[in-house]
This record gives sequence, C-alpha cells and structure tokens, in this order.
Amino acid sequence: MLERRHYELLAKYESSESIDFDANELAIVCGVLNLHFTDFTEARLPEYRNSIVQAIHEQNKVLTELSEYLNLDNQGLRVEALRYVVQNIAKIKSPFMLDSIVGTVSHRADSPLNYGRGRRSAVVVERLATVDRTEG
Amino acid sequence: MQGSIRSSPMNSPWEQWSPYWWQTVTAVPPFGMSFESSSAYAPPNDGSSSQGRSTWPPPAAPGVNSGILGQLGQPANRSSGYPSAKPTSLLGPFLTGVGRAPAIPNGLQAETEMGVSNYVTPAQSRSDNRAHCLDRYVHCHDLHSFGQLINGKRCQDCYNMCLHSGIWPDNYCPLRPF
Repeated sequence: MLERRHYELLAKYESSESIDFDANELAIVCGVLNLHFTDFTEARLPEYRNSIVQAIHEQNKVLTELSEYLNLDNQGLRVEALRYVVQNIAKIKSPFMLDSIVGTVSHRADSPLNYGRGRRSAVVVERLATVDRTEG
Repeated sequence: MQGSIRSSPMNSPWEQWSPYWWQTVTAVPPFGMSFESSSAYAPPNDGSSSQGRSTWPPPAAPGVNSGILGQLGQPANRSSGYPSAKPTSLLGPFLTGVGRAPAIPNGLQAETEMGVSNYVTPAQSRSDNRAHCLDRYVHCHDLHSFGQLINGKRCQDCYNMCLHSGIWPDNYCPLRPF
C-alpha cells in the first residue's frame, strides 16, 4: 500500500507552490501515477508537473466513476459491488488508483473495527432511498 | 494521459483550492460538530465554506443562523450569486432522524434555485454531484473522522471539492486507512 508520504508528494507536485527540482521525488511520483518518464531534467520540470496534475485529475475522475461500487455496497449488495469492481478492474492504471480502490473495497461498512458504521448504514440507506424517490 | 503537456499545473479542477489554504484558518471545526454526537455523519457544508476564499459567503454570525442553516441562509444579493435558502435546517433533520426525508430534497431545491438565479457551477451540476460525493464523504469520515489528511485537508474539504468538480480528490482524501 502507498504510504502517507506518497500522497504528500502528489499534493506537493499538484500544488501551485514553486518547487525545487528533485529527480528522486519525480521518479516516485511518476511511479505512483504510472507516468513513463525515463529520466528527469530540471528544464522539463514544468512539463513533468503538468503531466502529474493531469494524471491525478484523470485518475481521480475514473476513481470517482467507480464510486458505483459504494452505491452497491451501501445497499448491502456486497457481491454485486465486488463484481462491479472486477468488471472495471481494467480501468485501474496506476499504483495510486489501485491503492485507492483497494482501500475502498477493503473498508467494510459493517466492520466492528469501524466505529459507528451501524448507525451510518441506516442513514445512508434511507438517504439513498430518498434520493431515488426524489430523482426517480 | 501520460506525458502530455498542459499549460499550467493550476489548470486542474482544484485550481481554486490551494492545498495550503487551510493553514490560514483556524483548526476549529467549522460547525461545532462533535464526533460523540449524532452529527458524526452529517454532511459538511455544501461547498459554501468561506475559509480562505472570498468568493464564498462568509459564515453567519454566531447564534444567528449559524452552521449549515446560516450559510445557506445568506442573503441572495451577495456578489457570489448564492441564493437564499429556506430557513429550514438541513442539518437537524439529517442528524436527528426527525423528518429526515426532507433533508436531501431541501438541498436539491436549493440547487434548483441556483439554476434559476443563473448561478453557474464549475461542474455539470452540484445536485448531480451530491449523491456520490456524499457517499464518499461518509466513507471518508468513517475512516478518518475529523482528522487532517493530505496537506491538511479534511473529509469535508474533499466533499466541497467534489461538489464543485464532481470528482473526489483521492490524492487528498484517500478512502482507506492510513
């Protein structure tokens, strides 16, 4: 699994702050996002950052689209939710995406390790039903 | 995706979100939410948080329509173009379960009013974003509670970002335990 420092690096390179060139950091970030830059030169730092920002955006977008998993899981359709992930597993293109989806899938709504989940489930189920009635 | 060139790193949907904006504000939970209370699963402010961004209406004065109700109830003639919302509490029904059903419809109605007032959202529709963003917010809150995540972001910050862009920022609020 990715570590917090990996996410901190992603945030660093996505931010508007000016940063110093660091080939090692770039290699880590590009590895996490599965960007295929073979070597890094300081002159191309803006290009690297642009690619990183775009990759983060696009990969986050796909991960959000995969939130159908959460919809199904919140309805108690555990197997269907997992099947949905299986059917869309090819959309996972990077360690960043894999880390995110694995974390989402492994987080069981009814796990006793996750406080308050029972109360949450009832709320979510009712809310989803309300949304369905409203938008349906 | 890979290797392509963009004009600026700030052309992301998070453009209006400096990862460091949180450092300029207090760490006090904005709505007095207490994890021990039933507010643990309250949705955060619907993107109208004014923290660090002048384009959003500031919170109401304490004790006067404060919290979600207060923020939604800001005057409609503010420069942000935000409409006034009905003075009904979104938070209360959602938390207490009393009259819970209207909580979401009220929010959706507020979005409709935005459309009427020519409010243009960056994303396709804040209403459309609400359902899946809320799912992820609840998930995030389950995992991280009110704790600070990447670059000081909290789940509610990511919820607000999601409302605006329609995309959950997994790089700031990963939906997995740390």
